[in-house]
Amino acid sequence: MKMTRREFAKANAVAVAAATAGMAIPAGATNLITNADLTRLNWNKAPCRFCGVGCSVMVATQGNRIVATHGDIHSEVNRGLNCVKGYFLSKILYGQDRLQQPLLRKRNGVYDKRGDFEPVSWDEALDLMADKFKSAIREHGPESVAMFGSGQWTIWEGYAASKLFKAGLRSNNIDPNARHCMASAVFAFMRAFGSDEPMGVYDDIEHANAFVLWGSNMAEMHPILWTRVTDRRLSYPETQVAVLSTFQHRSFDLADIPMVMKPNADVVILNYIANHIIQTDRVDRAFVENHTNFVRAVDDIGYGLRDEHPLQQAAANADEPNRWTEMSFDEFADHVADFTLERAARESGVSESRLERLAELYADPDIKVMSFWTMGVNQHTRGVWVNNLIYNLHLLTGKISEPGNSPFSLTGQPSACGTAREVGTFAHRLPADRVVTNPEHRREAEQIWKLPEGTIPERVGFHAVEQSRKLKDGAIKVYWTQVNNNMQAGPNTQQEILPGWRNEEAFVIVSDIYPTASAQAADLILPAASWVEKEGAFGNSERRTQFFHQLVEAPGEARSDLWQLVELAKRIDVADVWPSELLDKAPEYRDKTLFELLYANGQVDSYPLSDMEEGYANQEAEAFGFYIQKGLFEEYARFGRGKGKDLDAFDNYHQNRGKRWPVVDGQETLWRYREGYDPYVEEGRGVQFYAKPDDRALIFAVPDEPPPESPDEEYPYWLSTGRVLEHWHTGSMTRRVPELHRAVPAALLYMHPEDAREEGMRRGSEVKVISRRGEVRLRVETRGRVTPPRGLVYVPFFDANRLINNVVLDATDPISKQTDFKKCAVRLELVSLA
Amino acid sequence: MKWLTMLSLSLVLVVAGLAIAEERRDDSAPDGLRPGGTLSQSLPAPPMAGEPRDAGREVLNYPEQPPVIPHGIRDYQIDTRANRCLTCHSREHAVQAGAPMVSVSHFRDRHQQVLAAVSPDRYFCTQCHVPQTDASPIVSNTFLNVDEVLGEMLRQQREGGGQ
Amino acid sequence: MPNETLHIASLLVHVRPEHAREVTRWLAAQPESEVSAEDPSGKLVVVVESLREARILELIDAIQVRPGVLGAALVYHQVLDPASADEPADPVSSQAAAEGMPT
Repeated sequence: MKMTRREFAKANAVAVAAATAGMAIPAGATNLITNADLTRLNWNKAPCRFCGVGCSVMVATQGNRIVATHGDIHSEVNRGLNCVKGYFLSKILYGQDRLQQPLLRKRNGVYDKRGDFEPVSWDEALDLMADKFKSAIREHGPESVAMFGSGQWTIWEGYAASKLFKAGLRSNNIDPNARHCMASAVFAFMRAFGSDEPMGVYDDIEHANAFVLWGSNMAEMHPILWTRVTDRRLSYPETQVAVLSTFQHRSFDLADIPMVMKPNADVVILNYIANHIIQTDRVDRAFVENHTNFVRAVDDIGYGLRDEHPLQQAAANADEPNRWTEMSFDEFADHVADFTLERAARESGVSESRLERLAELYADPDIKVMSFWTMGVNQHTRGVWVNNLIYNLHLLTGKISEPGNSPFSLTGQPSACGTAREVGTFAHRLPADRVVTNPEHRREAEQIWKLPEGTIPERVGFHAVEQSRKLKDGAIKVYWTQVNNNMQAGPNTQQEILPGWRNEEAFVIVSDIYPTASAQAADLILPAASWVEKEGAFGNSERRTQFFHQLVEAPGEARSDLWQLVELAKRIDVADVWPSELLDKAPEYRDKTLFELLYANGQVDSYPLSDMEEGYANQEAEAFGFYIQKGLFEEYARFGRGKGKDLDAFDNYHQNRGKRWPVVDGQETLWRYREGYDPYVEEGRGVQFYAKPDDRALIFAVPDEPPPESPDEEYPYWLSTGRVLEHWHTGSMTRRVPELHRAVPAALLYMHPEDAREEGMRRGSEVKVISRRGEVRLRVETRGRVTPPRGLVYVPFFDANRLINNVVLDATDPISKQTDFKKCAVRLELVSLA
Repeated sequence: MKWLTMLSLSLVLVVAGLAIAEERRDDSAPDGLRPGGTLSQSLPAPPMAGEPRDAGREVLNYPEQPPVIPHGIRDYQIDTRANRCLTCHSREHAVQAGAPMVSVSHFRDRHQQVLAAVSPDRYFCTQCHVPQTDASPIVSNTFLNVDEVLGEMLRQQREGGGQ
Repeated sequence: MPNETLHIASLLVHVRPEHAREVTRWLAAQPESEVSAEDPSGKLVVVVESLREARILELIDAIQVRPGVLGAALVYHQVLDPASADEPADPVSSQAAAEGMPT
């Protein structure tokens, strides 16, 4: 009997509802297809693959395919909502050109840097990789190998990679793409509070009566949090929303205090607000006296450019930019006294009245204010300073670590927190806020990892921008990237990144799911598994760790990044990469492989397959014979438990929508450093910044310093780069979803219509954007979602055919080494009018 | 002096050739969203995609997909003062405007309470609903909706002998 | 009529078990809806089928005020063209036409 469409739809409706409720599907609903199992969709939770908000989605699978997703109504984060990217998650893994087999450049049957890509087996690929790593280390030392990892790695992928490099290969040259997005936030947290990551949570949104967006465009980049802000603002009209940026964008649609400022003026504005708070006597004296210290930051710190650059030569403190000296409150007050309202208005271009209203949001003790920021602040040559300046305001007024009063550093990637930062996959870090430069920290790691003293190198490795430079200079011989696309996302492509990767000296391996620009520039391409094709975990902006099961199989021979790392480890002997002095200290490792050293070490391999939840596949665990994800996680968790970064037990996370660490006795922590909320705060202390030796947070005095490159006669425009709502980062996933692609098919040059008119251009003209470093061709948009002021243009970086990073300067914050993607100087040249 | 011209010409060519050889870093590669082997090139920018015509509603891929916007929305105001979308798509106006009413799911707030009007957290429509230009996909997508997957499974079941 | 649409939706209704029979009987009498499934813990699946989208909302409102009802949630909502709703459902439908093709 054939079902009609109506009947089919009704049966589907029943099946979905019943499945959601965990009910058995009634017989009547299944008479359209004889097998009830077919109509029952498998619904499972997973965190969204995209941004740092960390929404939870329900994923429906059938027949080894994802057929639908919807917002998870049980998630505290999004309560059933997604943004447009989240709503199309079911399509992101199904681009036609999914990589399914390793590809190696060959000529005449052997690897050749100039050869054409040919499919090879995993064995051939991994064996060659192992050879390359071993010979590079043997001939040039561990500093000649490097890895560029990711804030989109799962937690255990990052941990496995970190171990492989720092303990196995003994190189600190592992850095994540989170260096491009969150490094400034990390360094600011560490120097102000002694511990990384926000002290508040998303719940602050429902308690705040003012929101300030410092250069972030939440409407497009953190949309679900924006819906919560919108809800708050529209439901409680006395709530105020202030939005500050260098151009007008969609977040301005909700703004009560909209402000467009000149680039780099955030330093002046923030110092002014501190001044305002002090001058109008709204400092919370008790809080400041009991819980803070004042320090003067070292200035004239340069711009993270190559050493030979004149700006670096001229900078007095380029070598040691992360230092400070003590000062008193009065000295601090003197310092900010220079930043008057008049000066702030003049230098920023924002009116005095708006600046005063903004300042009052902080100064008024009755206003609970939540500050939000991401890339406008972090991707900044003084990004660490600006982060500290925002904390200054919250510390001076005591508006911190309590519901509604919240300096909230938003994270860009789904697991820049959970993986890159917490696991410490940085050139200077170890898990749980530890650093390689601290001998005690190294020793702790070596003990947990069962390694002899001296295994972990002390020297900080090459950070992201430095890796590109070292490749170009021939110092890095083997380079492996996973879950990123630096050929498109990194700065100064044509002068540094591309010549680096194509340098004859270097062997470049790219693991990805699609042929990205990076894959196109690689020598070996490894096909990866993604998202719910593997068991994984992400940690979002509010310290919430969320797990997901493997729900479908990866296509072809694609394998997860974890599998790739572990398989490589099997092919390298400890004796190949450790010096004999080290082996002498631990002779038991003499005839072992890195696999046995790092992963089959009695800890990571201590959980049997029977520990796995029934009904879920787990390709890696099956391949290696033990529950490797659990083993890696539990070993990693040892670093943070008892140290203020406690994670819950592995098994619990599969059962809930995540918990916010520190999780102590099963209880998550919402507001850190505040008694009653944070179990680490001692009784009677009220507020305790316990990660600092004297329990006090630091308030920093920083001056105003100009950016390295400003518009001039020859290059008269500011260029800012960023994203759009519909596309994630370099667009490798979203541009393969037809609905998202059609919404925004190409990157455009957003500019002011008057500027266009003066340049002799108009909407739709083809234009070259040219800087001192390169050029790119774009079409002009004068009526788009972004309205730049005169003298500034904006280009998103999602388009592989419009490599805007050809043009961007590779200057960084000297402390955090994070690139400033928001400010460089360009000129425009008309190619064709229409 | 022809030989001098020839010599200098060939020198120029040799030098240019060397320069080109140095500059050329475009080894072959598979096509992705970008054609393979073009990384050092500055590719021309295609003309801007056309505004969406009133194309009619599209079938959803799955029930929870937010429908794409089948018409242009240029200059539509959605801010604290006005929401242009709701002037046609609200409960009160939908019938007269001939526009689909916002889905009933939009009347539920964060706490699953049903409200009299569209929930404030749903206010900015374009966070979920996007218009479509006339651009063609660069790479096609092999996503199968549930009907197609079930149909495939059913077909396999029948061919395998059935139940 | 070009603008007519057929709405198929399902609701998950949670009822106190002791009121379940009463609520189910009341639901059975409501036009354009049917109770398709229930379980002993008090969960009901109600399918709504209507040419008026607002019917779904009305029904949710009405259900929620019934005594013994703990909650009603919309779980599924699909829109069909009423003209073709009673044609056979070919699972490999012309939905492919909507996939990836320029409009």
